[in-house]
Parts: sequence; structure tokens; C-alpha cells
Amino acid sequence: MTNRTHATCPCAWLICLMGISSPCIAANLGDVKCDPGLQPAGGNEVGYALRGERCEGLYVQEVSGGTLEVVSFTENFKAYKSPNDKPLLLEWPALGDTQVQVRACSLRRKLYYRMDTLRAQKPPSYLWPSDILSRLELRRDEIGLLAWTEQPLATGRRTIHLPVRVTPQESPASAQQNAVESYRVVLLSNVELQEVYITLCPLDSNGRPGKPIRKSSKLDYGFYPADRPITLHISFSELNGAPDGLYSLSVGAELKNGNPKNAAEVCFFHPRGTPRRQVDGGKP
Amino acid sequence: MSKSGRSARRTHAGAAVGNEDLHELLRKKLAELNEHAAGNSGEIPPDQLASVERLSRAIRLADEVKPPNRWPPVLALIVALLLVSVLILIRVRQTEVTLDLAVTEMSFTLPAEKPVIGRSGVTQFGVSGVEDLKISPEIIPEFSGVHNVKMIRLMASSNSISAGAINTSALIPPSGTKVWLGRADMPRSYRLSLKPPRKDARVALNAEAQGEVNIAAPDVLTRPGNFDLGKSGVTFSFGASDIMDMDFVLSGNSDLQFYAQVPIENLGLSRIEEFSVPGKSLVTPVSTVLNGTLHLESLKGEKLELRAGELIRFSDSKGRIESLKLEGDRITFKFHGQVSGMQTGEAGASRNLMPNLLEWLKARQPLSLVWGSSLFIYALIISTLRWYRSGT
Repeated sequence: MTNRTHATCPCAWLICLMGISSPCIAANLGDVKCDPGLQPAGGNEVGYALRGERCEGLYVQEVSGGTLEVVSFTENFKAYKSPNDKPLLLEWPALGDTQVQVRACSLRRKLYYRMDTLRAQKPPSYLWPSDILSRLELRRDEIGLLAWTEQPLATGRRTIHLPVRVTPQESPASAQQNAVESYRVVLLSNVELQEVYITLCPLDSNGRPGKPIRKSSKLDYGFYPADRPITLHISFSELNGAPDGLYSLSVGAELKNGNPKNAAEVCFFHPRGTPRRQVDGGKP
Repeated sequence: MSKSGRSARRTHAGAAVGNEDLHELLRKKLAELNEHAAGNSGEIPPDQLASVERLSRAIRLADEVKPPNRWPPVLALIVALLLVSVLILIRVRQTEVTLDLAVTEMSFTLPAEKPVIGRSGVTQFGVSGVEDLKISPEIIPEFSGVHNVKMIRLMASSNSISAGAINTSALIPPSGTKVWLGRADMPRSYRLSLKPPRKDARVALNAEAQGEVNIAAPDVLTRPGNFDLGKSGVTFSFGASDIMDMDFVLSGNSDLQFYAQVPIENLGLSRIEEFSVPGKSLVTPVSTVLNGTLHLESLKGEKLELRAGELIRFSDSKGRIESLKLEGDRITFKFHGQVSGMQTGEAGASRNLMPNLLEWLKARQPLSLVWGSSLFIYALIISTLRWYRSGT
């Protein structure tokens, strides 16, 4: 059992995927299972519940402890105003045939919100109804987004994160204009940190790490309060050397009391060459 | 039922029928006697009168041996037992308590706009969730015209030439503000979080910094830097319409000046921890109590020791924090007020700590309870005796 300590983006399914077998991902498309451990909050309108192809809503929770985890891995974007009640188009780079778990969580303090859905690899996109987001008045920068799948790598299977691009449905062109050539990674910790260190490596065909692109490089922000997003960027230009486009991101931290703390290693897919999104159309 | 019981019942039933016959016979004889007397100028034959008198005496004797009705005492016993059960089972809706506790975290709501914390000296002061930051005077060029500062940390420099100092000003949140106060991992380190009651309400706090201060603001500065704010110092004003967190380290000679008699509501003494297992999350409430005492004032101050980790929760609470101190690795406070739905233990195995009516009466009306219970016991004994006699 893993002691999870952050409120907003529980990683049960992530752990599930990181395990040897994955009953979660083995489910058929549309066979979305809501996390039974989350107690819905806020009534039927916004409580965590099955809503079509996704489980979404608020749950009762307030968590403490010492977890440090990656809660969002998206393409970087310039701030834009998301129109109310218009679906958001989530896209990710296609990789293999295995289904993709998509998870959104709230980065707003003490707002316990989550969305889970299970998608086929093709098309590598999901049109996400934003009715709940609108009701909760969640801004784009208050949402953490992860998409991951499981792929065979060397002798075993590994969880591969697929960076998500988010665009308002009716204005993909403006999203292209707003896109920045980097990834935006958001970390959350339930305790205040003294410093955060990043190690970034390409992975070879056998899943072994190559020469580090960044090796224990500190963020040097000077202030990492508990329960507040810690954002870091990975530029596309620094990502090279991975034959299959797979990279490993390790996040380590020093707590205020000097003790070390590590987040689970994140293996992510960066498709070589640009533009990245010319895959199987866009809409589901 | 035993044979003797059945025969006794038959005997009693037969006696009752016989009594009715005798009554009928007496009525007939009296009627005949009346008729005879009326027809004979009021003369009654002595033998007939003697016969009626004997019959009347026989009826009286028969009435004396008639079995008493058993049900009234039984009903009285049932009513008395029901009454006592109600007194034991029904709990008072609200009770007055005093809590004297040491905790790691606590939360409450401020029902009125009143000063909560006075000026306090800190060595580090970090604020996150900031929506407005004003620096007065504007002597730090990096912050001029910048409006997107979401978090900032000030740290007093220990440089012996130009040592810095940071003081927080009085905190007066709007009414309805939710407050969380908890210790952090380091000694004398704490987090105070404030959430305004509405979107249009704001929480605000000022901090004054002097001398050399190290400032970290990831949204503005590429890396933390030292700034000499001079002897006259600079005032940082923080404001937010959502949760604003303040992480601070108290300076060695300073205490958090929490005002006495601060009215509060909805006192919370637990947090929730989540454990993840494949496919689901397990959510468990965890007590923040380290130790302390609960005094039930409505039960004449009856004391209940609370152990470390003992979960105590209220469905509602309203009262005053009489005192609050931050002591190294703990927060000690004294709360006095009215609570309802007071329980200990986890859901499913919880114990209701609200006094029942019997306890309440015992504490409030001891004389009435003594009289009432004496009468009850007396009635019980009498009923039992009558029951016993009626069966023999």
C-alpha cells in the first residue's frame, strides 16, 4: 500500500498501470470504472460519478502526508480564456495499440476534483465536455492533465506518459498559435520543499537511460509551498538522443528538514520530428 | 402453564360467575321483600330479613376473596421502564464543553470580523495563492508593474551588518473566513491558511520587512535574491479571494500573538489521509489530537482524557478560543463553547459523547432525580409485591 498524500490527483490507476498487470487498462473502451474509494461530494450535479464515457466530479477529501508527484504533463501553452460549456479537445501522440488512460485533476487548493476516462489509441484524442469544469469555474491553469498507456519495453511493460495538448473545440487554430515549443510539467507536494532537482534522460530501445540531458539540475525557485503547483518546462529543443522518442523524467526534492523525497519516475513519449499532431485526424 | 395455574384461573373464573349469581339472587330477594313489605304495611318477616342479610354478608365475603386485577401494576412497570430507557437513550442536542488540547492541526470558521492574530516576528514568511501584491514603497524594481505574483517568500537575512527583520501585522479576516492552522516539519514552522467566505470577499495581510531580506518569487524572479530594504523598511500587502496560505517560521524571541476569546465555529480536529491501492483510493480521517482533556460543563465539568490520535468530531460547534499557543511541535489551545453531535472513534465504531438525559438530569437536577428514582423504586417494589401476592 502506498501512502498517498496529495489531495487533488490520486495516483491509484497510475500505480495500477505501473504494476505488472493492468486490469484498469485492460477494460474495454467505454468500460470506465470510477474509483470506488472516492466519496462523491457536492450532490449529483458535480459529485464524482460516471458521466457517459468518463467519471468526473468532486469528491470528499483532504489529504496530508509527504507525497511528491507529477500531476500534469501537457504541451506548454499561452494562457487563453476557455469558453464556457464548450468541449475541450484533448490530443496526445499516438503510440502503440494499447488504450490510453486520461486523467484530469484540480490544482486549486482544497478543491477535490477528478476526471478519468479510458480511450482507444485511435483516434488519439478526446472531446471533453466542459460542463462540470464550467460549473466549478476551473480555469485552464487550475487543471492538471495526464495521459498514459502501457507499452512493452525490453523485458517488461512500462507506463509511458503521452503529453496532452488542450484546445477549445471551436478554436484549434488559436491553440496552434498559442502553442509553445515545450512541455509543461506540474508537480505537487504535500509538504513544503527546500529544493527540487530534475534529471532528464533519453531511453534507448531497451529502456535503458542514456546520457542525461539534465542531471540533478535544481529548479532554484526558492519557494515550493505545500499543495501549490510547481511548474517546470522541458523545451522540445533539448529532447534528443532517444531512438524511440522515449525519455525518462525523475524528480527529486529536498524537504525543509533536509530529508530527500522522490517522485515516481515518469517515462514519456516525445515523437521525433514536428509537427507532432498529424495522426489519424483529430476528433473522436 | 402449570396445572395448578390453570385450575387457579378456573377457580377465579368460577368464583366471578358465582358472585354475579349471588348478586342477582340478592336483587331478586330484595325486590320480593319490598313487594311483601309494600303489601303488608311495611311489615317484613324476620326470617326473610335474616336470609337477605346472610346473603348480603356472603356476597361481601365473596368480593373480598375476588382476585385483584394484575394489569395496572404491569402497565405501571412498563411505563416506568420506558421512561428510564428514554432518559438513557435520548441525548441532549447541544452541550457545553471546554477543550484543552494539544494538536498538530486545527481548523475553524470565524463568525465575526475581529482581530485574530497580532503583530508577530518571523524569520521566514511565504505566502501562496496571492492575487494582489502591493509593495510600498516600490523600491524593488523587479516587482514594478508586475501583477501575476502568485507566491512569494521573504526570509530575513542573518547578515550581521544588515540583518533583516520581518513582522506580520494584525490579521483581521472578514466574517465567515475559514481558517486552517497546522505545524510544519521544522521547529517553529507553521502554516496558516485563510479562505474568504465568498468570492467577493477578500482576505488580506501585511508584512513589514527591514534590512537585508532574501526574496523568492518564482513568477517574477528567475532565482531568489537578496534585497536591502533599508531601515525604514517595506510593507508587503497580500490579498486573495480564494485560499491564501502563509508558511512562516517564528523568530526565536517571538510568539504568534493569537488574541484571547476569539469567537469561532465549526472546530475541526482531524485531517483525511488517502492510501492508494490498485483500482481505488482508501480515504481515512486521521485525528490531529496529540493529547488533552474534554470537560463536559453540562455534567458539572466531568473530565474525559483524550489520547494521542483519538478522533473527536462535532457536527456543529460554536464558542471561543480562549487561548492559543504555538509550542515547538504542537499547537495548544483552549476552546469553550456549545457543541452538538460530539463523537469519538472512526465512523462505524464511533462513540457518542453527547450526555444522555439521565446524565443531564443527574448533573442539573440531582434532587428531582433522587425523588423520582426513589418513587420509581418504591413503585417497583410495591408492584412486584402485589404481583407476587396476586399469584399466590
